[in-house]
Amino acid sequence: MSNGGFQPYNSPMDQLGLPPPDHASSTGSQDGDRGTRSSAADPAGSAFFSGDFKKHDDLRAMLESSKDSQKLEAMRRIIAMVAKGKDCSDLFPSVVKNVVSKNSEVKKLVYVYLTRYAEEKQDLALLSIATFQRALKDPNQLIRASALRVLTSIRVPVILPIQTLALQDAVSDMSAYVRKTAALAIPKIYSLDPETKPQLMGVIEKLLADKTTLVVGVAIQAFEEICPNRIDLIHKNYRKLCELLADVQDWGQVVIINMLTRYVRTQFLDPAQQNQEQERQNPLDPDHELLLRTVRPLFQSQNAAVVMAVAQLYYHCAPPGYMNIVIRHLVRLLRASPEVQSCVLTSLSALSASSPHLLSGHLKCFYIHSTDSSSVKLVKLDILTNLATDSNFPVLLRELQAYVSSPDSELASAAVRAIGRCASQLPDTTDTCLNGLVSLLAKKDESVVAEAIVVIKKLLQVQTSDHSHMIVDLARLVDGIAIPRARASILWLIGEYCDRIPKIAPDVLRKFAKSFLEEEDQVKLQIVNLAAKLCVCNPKQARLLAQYVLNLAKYDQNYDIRDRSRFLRPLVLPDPSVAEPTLLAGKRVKKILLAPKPAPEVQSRFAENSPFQLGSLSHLLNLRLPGYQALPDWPAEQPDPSVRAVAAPAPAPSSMAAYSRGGPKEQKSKQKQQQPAEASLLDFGPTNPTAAPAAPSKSTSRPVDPFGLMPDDLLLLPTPSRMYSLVNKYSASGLQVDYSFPRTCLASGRIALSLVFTNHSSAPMRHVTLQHAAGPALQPPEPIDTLEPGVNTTRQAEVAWGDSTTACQLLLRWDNGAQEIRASVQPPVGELLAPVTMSAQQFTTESGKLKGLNEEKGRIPEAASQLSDSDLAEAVRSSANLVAVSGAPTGQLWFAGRSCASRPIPVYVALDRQANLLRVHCEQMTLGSVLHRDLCSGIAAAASKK
Amino acid sequence: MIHSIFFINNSGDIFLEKHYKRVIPKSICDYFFEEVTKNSSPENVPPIIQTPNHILISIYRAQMHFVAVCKSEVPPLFVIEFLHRLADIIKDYFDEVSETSIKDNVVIVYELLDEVLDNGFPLATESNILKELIRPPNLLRSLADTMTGRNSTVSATLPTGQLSNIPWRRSGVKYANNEAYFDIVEELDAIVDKFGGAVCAEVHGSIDCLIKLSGVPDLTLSFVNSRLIEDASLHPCVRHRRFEVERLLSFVPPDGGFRLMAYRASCHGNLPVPLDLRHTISFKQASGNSGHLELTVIPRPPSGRQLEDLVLTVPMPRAVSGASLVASAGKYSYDTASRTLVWTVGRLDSQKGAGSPTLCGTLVMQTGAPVPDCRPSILVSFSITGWTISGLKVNRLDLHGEKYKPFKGVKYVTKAGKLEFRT
Repeated sequence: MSNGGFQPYNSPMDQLGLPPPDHASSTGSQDGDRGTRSSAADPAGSAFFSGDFKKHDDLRAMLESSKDSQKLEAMRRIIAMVAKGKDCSDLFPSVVKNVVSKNSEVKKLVYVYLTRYAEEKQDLALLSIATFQRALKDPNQLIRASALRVLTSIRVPVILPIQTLALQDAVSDMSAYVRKTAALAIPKIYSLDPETKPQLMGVIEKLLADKTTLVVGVAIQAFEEICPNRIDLIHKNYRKLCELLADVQDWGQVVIINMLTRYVRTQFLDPAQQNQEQERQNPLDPDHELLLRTVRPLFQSQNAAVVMAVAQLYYHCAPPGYMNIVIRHLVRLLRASPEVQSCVLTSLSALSASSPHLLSGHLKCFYIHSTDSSSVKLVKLDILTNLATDSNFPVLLRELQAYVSSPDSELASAAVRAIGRCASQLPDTTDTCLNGLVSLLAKKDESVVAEAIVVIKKLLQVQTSDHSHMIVDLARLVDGIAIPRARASILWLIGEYCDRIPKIAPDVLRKFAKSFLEEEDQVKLQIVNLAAKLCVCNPKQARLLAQYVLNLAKYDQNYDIRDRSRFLRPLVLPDPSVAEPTLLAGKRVKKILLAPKPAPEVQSRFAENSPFQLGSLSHLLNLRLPGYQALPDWPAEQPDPSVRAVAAPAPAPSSMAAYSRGGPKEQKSKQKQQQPAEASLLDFGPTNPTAAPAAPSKSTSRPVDPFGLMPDDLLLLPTPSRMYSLVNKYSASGLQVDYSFPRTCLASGRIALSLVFTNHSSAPMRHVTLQHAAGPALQPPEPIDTLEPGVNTTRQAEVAWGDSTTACQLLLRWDNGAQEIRASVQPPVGELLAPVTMSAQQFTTESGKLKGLNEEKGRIPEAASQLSDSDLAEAVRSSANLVAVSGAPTGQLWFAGRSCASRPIPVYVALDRQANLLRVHCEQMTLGSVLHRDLCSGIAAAASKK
Repeated sequence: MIHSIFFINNSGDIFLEKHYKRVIPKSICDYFFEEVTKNSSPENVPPIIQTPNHILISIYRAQMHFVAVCKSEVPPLFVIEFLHRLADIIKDYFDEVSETSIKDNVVIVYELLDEVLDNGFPLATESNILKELIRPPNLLRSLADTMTGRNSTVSATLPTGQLSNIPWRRSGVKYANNEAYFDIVEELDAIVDKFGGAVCAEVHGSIDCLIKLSGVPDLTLSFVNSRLIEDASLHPCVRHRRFEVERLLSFVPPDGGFRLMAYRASCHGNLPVPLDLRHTISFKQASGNSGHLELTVIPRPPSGRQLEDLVLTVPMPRAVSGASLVASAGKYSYDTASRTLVWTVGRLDSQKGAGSPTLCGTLVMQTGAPVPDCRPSILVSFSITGWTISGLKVNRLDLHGEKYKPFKGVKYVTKAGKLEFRT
């Protein structure tokens, strides 16, 4: 589109690299300029035209009238003509005057008319420009947007500067709708003048940063059309795109997913390769996984194009284990409209050729209904044959046989070919297939019989064992078969294996020599071949016959046959007068004529792995189309992952922030620690009860969220705290218990504890239990039956701390109570909190309410000055379960949370880097001051680590 | 993406065209017509046709071809889905997609075409939004317009849905009677072989709604046996996470009719095909130039239900030129042009003991033609109301966010989808 759009329409574009079909010349200028212009200038249709002019005169009068209703009626009639493809360009002057009309429909119709004819009447079109320029400043967003739309749709190069200017203004318009229109206008301007590319890139960059779902889809479309290779523009927006994807309009989703497929292929390592080399320790890049996770709900879209886009993303970018889901959803699309079905089947057929095991479970979905369209039938048959295995073959053969007796003879012959393909794919089944095919020879439908013979011929060529009886059967059939292809095949078979049927072969030749003149060309060729071969094998009986046939062939009308006869005659019937060369040939002639021939291979259309992106038009046509962006190969080395990091003050979810810090060593350890959380993110189970909209009150307050995947929910993803030790191995004779706070907020208001039991002794420990002794209530973990030496086991417990940090006394017992030890857990204040997302505005008002005594102020530790904003945010988040408030002013870091008690207490934390102040707002003073102290020490620790 | 759109009827008449970029002359459709003549029926025209400089992507709906012209790489399903959406929008506006409905409202259709795409990329395709931008024709409204002197079907302000986060719902909906109707329609796709065994069988269902509720209602639809739902596709309004976790549909509906969900029902073991068919079709008889046909339907409806709208269609080979048959129930017809035998049985009243209706008689064969050697399939269609073949049942519908008590209705229907008996 980007390149093609600019070329003049009637130039002979060979973009598809195909010669025009023959008829193109006969119909005249096919794609050319048989447009409205030429017909308008054509004086030939004058009789018709004069009438037209009269009619147009009254339209003109109506347009000049002062009544809106008259104008509207006129415009409606004009548009009705335009819709039918009639030429109305002569009305342009009268129409363009009405561009200032107050009536919205008149105006709309004038706009429609303008965009259609402006290119032909460039000078007159300029008259309307001022109106649009005025409308661009209108307070009504719809008027602004439609003015921009029409202005940029007018393909008149002179106004290009005006268009670009309007575009640049619109990009920073308040209304998202106007910005969307601006994004749509970019390709229009580009197609008018590709020189504007640098300017447009700036505009695109701005639009890519837009956070509204309305704009991102079209912005990516503009990106794809103008600078699809500038992947670097995507980095900063990658995570945002992933998060917004679910809420974008379906058309935008398709475009974004297709673009991200290419992005993933350039920025991450091949997941299939990774698994092999580094075993399972190395999970996917978190950003890679983020995309796969956010895209997955879209499998359930009602738009087949979206499902296909997700499927191809998973196919090209996901670890191999995911393909089952992909296939399931693609198969579901087969129920959609016939056109969708045919496209999806083509993709599935490519899959079935490259990896049949994926589809083997869905064999029955490809059974052919008699109402399927003929192209669908053929593709389904192709898939069925690709899926044939030794185990499913009996079922499949029965199904194929049913197709053979279908009234649709095209399907019947295709089914015969399919049986042949199965037989050559699965050597064990060749005999069964051959028998089945031979039984088909008794059918009355000639085309089926002919097809069967051709297939049998191919199969016999593959078979090494003796099938002379079958050839004999075929030879008997030859009289009843009229289809030349089949007759030729039989003759070839008899010739090839003439030594196996010495009695019949000469007789067949005799019959055919008689009917030689009436045969079709391809049959004649085979008669000549048969004669030559027989003459070599059995000169006694066949020599004369061969001579006769070769003589007939010598004077045939077809030069192929004449050539063949000239070529074969000296080989098989050497001229006695020329002794030398024929003697040489005479010895080898048998080798030449009866050399073992390679068996023909029957393959599916997609036998070779198609290089094109699955589901693209290029893939479907197996042809590179203009505008197709090739799918890049995976990089060999991991490209720098930090490019996607978004700078504070809106830190990304902590898993990413940690990831973006960069050092490979640190990254690895982090990932290891987070593995359980990441694993659970992939399934959509209720791992995070706060995120699942359980309470109806919550869901009603946010009815806007179609997939339950709001961006803030993503920010709420829990980061487990660091590990604390409960009991060490020295004090508890080898049993070590560590705990951490997984930070999953429980609906009950309790705090979750994740306990890791490790047996460092040499003997197994039996029945390890942890019980409540004193302090806040405990939901004890499940007892561990046996803990083998050197093994660790994780258990979950819950403690109802409420707002107090009272230690919870615990009793740890094992070996059926023989061993017992006391321990206590005292939570850091930061762990008693749960994150709360809010806007910056909410934050200022809410924290403003908690001043004076409720505010704990203090300096940020000195060492923190060397920390970057994101590191500082990370330090705060690691010492308290809070979430960053997005949109805080620069130099400020804001966090919000609440306590988990039955009556939650809000907690707000603000770091002001300029004033070097750390403020904690909390209505409970002790909680606030303790939290303040903890945060300071946490930050200092993070700084010293650095 | 999409350069131009053409509407073509079955007689090869281009009756509407709209260009989104440079004008592409009508002659591009010659390539399309060439394919049409190549194929026996319009359904068989391939959806994607390649020409030297363009790609034509078309759909066939309601006796019309909707042809989109593209010039460069574009996801083919994108265009196909878009054309279907376009047809849906037209249907939504004028109650039917047909050549007449389009020709009668050509200006509105053209305005719609201008609004759905901009420069070939979809702009607004939600019919709730479009209806605010361009008002659908309506007798009452046109009366009101003549009274008030308002004369425009185009809105001057941006539809509220465009900018809201529930773009599918228009704002300010008000009804005197608040109603919500749900039609659960399941279709049985099956192939039954000549011995009466099912070769393959699947049940696909859909929930179509007609929602006329004021304000911004938040609905929750739960099922008695939601585990029966497999592989669902959901309207964008459905909250995905709640469906995944709780298997219920929680959504703020669009106003009017829409498809809430489509699903494949899990059917383990054998599916009860609610009828059995005995058939003998032979094209050759000792007596000479006539074949023999005998069809017997043995209904097996679920208890208390009846088979309705039972129609059997048998596409015959070319050699069968006529049929003289006797039907014990319903009527039969033989279309000599398409060579199809249609037996409309209608409703099967199980109470009356009508038993098993039969169609029996001779097939007239063309003289001189060879006896066909094929086995035609029998296509069956029926419907059973008040019953779903998978057994899916709605448990309850709750309304949050609004005060009124709506009228709620659920209808269950099972139909034959692609049901075919091989002979």
